[in-house]
Amino acid sequence: MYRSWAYIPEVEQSAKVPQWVADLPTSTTGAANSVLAYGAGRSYGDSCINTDGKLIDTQQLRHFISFDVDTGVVTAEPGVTLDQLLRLTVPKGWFLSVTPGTSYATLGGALANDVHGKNHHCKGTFGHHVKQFKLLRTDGQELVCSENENPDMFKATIGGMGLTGIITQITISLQAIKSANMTVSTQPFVGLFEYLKLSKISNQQDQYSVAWIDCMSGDMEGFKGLFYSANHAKTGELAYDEAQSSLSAPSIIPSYLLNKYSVTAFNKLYYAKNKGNKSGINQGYHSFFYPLDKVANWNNIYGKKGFYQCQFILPLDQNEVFDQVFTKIRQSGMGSFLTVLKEFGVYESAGMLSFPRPGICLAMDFSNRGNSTMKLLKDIEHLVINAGGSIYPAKDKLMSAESFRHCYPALDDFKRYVDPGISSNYWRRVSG
Amino acid sequence: MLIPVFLLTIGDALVADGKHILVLGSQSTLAREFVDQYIDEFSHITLVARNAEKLQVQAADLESRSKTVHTKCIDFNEIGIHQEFDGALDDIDEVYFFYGSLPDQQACEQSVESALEAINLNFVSSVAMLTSIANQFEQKRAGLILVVTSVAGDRGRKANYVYGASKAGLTAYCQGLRNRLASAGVRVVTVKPGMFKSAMTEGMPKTPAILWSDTDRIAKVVVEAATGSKEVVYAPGYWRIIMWVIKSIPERIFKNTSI
Repeated sequence: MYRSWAYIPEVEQSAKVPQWVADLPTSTTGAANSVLAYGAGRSYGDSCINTDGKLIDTQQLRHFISFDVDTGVVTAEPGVTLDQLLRLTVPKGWFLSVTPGTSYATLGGALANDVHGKNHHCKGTFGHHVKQFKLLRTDGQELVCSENENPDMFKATIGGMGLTGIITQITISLQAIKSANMTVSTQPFVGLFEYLKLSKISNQQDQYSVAWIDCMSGDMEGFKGLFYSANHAKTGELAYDEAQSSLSAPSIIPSYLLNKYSVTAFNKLYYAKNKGNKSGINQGYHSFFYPLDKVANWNNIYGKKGFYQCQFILPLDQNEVFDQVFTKIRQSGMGSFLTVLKEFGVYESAGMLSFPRPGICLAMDFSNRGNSTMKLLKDIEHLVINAGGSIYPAKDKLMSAESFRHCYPALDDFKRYVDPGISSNYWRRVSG
Repeated sequence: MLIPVFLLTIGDALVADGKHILVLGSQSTLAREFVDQYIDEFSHITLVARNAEKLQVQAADLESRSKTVHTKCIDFNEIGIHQEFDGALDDIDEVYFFYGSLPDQQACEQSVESALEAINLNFVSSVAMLTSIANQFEQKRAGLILVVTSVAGDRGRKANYVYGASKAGLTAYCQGLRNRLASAGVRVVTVKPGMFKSAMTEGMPKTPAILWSDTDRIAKVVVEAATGSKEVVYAPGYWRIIMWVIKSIPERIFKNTSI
């Protein structure tokens, strides 16, 4: 059964599972017969669900087409996961130029959401490293898209949430590495301004940086956080670091287990355990980039009711809005289990509807408590929109059509490239 | 410049010396998953399947992963396919039988052609190829033959007895072959999967859900069977118990059930 990673909306869908690109359906027409490509199902909201139509599970479309070990250019089908790609390329000295926080996402999903990573300040988004892809429209037409060939469709499809067609193959360029290890430094800090100072220094010397924060530990000037910065190590083995799920969250955890008190306790413990000032520690790439992949089905810890992710960017001159957001969270009595802060670089994103833009990005998650959680998220949405910020579609399931238009002014232009045979719950909600 | 991957493998002595495996029905969901999981165990692979276009996709994939790939496009339904393998197994260390079809039982009841076509594909063609392959391995006094049959062959049921009979025939054939080739040092392994999610079962109701496995779980069992020492392996292992229970029901009771 197919559903979104955060279990909301509470729907399960079945899907067609083509085994080969050649078996992909062509010539579907009409909204009732709409299709939507489904990758690994790692989108949190309703962008990977299409309950009015059908899903096409692309996970069997996972052949590599070519890999040039001299230039680090790889071409593969869209269902290849990042982990499957790294298994091939790391031993030959190549790593993803941009990677999100899970290795289980597919290449197709990474492209469709124009995902970003901890190196946004120097490498931009996933889309910046896409050289070319093939797009199968539901009228049977197959388009080759790149910056030179069908450039408008290229821009619309990067970050286009799968709405412009079914991606059938992707060519990306990788970055050279000398070791599979990462050199990581950790630094505790207090408050947003200290974070910004650390980020500024780090951004000039480190490829990766991100901060974990405890948003319940204080206001904008008082919250505690840990600043992580990292680079690919210069020496060490070039060994594939297997995605091992050593733990698996059972599906029977009651949803009340994650409450204000347990989340507060967890965050305090996490801080206490990691607050030591460490620099230049070597660790495998997997534990640095994909710590949550170690727990299979970690989404189960929120219980059957699921959870809400909330990820937004605020422009750099709107810092005081963080204070208002934190105040709202404290007032609501809800705690965010995992809160992550990242300053984005000045890159213009590669896609028409790409989320990343200059500013400070905050990601949080909240256990689903029904209306009160929805109200909190709606309040945050208003604060973000009024401040000229934007919300990440891959994690959203509440944003109104009006808010979407504020975040994504290219919406009307984008609509011209949407395949009439493709739709999603997300699209029906925000495109109105 | 794009380096053809077969050139890369030549310089790599370790890889070049690896095993050569022959995969019959390489386009099946299980075969693909098996090859992915078994990837570090071989350096050369010969893919045999019906669709030439898909064989090219599969070959490019494995070449990207530094394997030397040969392809052979054949229709297993054709008489005389075994000749393709006569004298061709000198370099091959392991042979895997993955192909087969799940025929529409009702069509097989109505039409002799449908029934015989299913038996021909699932059983007769395998016998033809196994005859040729077994003789060559016996002469070499080495080799592994792994054949995927089915739990459906353990007891005939009204729901799928044509399929079941073809798999039962294949299972018994392999049993005899194992007996014959044991002294020659050739391993014959039979893997009997229960129900699993694949192209063959797409569209079938997946109930009861607890009895349906994902392909990767079945492929893992095939890998373990290939590298282990067991002769007959159920996939997953609990099917041995289920089938033991089903086989122990007396026929006069069983004939009135709808299991």
